[in-house]
Amino acid sequence: MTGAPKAAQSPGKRRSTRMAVALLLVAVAVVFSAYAGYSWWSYSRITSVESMQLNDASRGAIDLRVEQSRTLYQVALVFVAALWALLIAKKDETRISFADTPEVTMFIIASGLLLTSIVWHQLFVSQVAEAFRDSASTFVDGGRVPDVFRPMYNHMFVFQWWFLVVGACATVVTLISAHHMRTN
Amino acid sequence: MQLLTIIIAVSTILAQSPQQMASTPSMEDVSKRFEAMNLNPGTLPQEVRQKDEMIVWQSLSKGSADHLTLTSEGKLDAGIATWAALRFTAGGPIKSRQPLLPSEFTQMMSAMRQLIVESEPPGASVTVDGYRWENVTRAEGFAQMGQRNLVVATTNVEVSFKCYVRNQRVTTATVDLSAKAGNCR
Repeated sequence: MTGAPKAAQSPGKRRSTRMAVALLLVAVAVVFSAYAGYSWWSYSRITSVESMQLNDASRGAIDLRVEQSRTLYQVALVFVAALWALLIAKKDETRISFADTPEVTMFIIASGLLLTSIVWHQLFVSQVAEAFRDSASTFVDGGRVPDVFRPMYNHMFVFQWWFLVVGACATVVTLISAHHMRTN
Repeated sequence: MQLLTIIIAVSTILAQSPQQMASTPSMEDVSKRFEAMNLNPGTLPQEVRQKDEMIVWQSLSKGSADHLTLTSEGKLDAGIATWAALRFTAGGPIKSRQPLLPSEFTQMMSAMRQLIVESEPPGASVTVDGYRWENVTRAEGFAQMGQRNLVVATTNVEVSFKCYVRNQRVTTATVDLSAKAGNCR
């Protein structure tokens, strides 16, 4: 029997593996969403924030942070495009199988996580803009603006990053699963 | 028809949170609080202020102002104080004699203005509405307009007082820790 080809996984086992992965993704998505929602609710109840002096250094740091957020947003868009390409792929290409529950679950979870990351980007950018607008009424040269690196603002950037990482992992798993479905 | 009315009434009651059901004051209560707080009543025509009262009440009772939902009289006062901060501080964006737009009020409720906290002696911790700042006095930050609860403390002394963060100006809170007194200007 030595040198014999390894027996391929049975279709039933493959399906249960995919189901386990899908359930794991659901659990991760629920935990992340609950924690992010609770954090957002907690921070939205805070009525004050420390300020920072606006000079060339701090302005550069803020620009860099907004640029980082924009880059993550663009990466999220690329992953969304790769994921949704599964929907429009031809029959002989790797595509999503709507008859397969684990596959559909993974696809929905990955899409949800990536879209949530995009929403965090929009929230972060709009809140930073709001912070600058708030300071405008009393601003003088070299004056102060709300410190957007405090958790009250920065948590949105952190969640954008985490939702992108988990969404990207879910996307990769979904693509691998779809590829296996086609080859098998 | 009666059944439909009952269904609408029941669904309206169920749509409210238990907190709102227990403590949302009526429009008359809001008007009385406006009167009691005596916030520059002669400046605005009566009909304009009545419409303003309605907008404040609607904004607060809908929960759109979040932390200022009508769960207690103190929070209602804070909401009215915010309205006054929008209406009556010098050079503010809302100075017309027209009623406020609901969107103006809701948007401005969360707008922040500069707040400086000084103490004698310096180096005391600052807490605004339960959120402790990392910086010690002299500390500079931003706080939402209206009435804020400040606590300035050292290891031995704690002074708490209400501070009224105004529109279009930098509000400075000064605390004398030895006299245990604080005020805002």
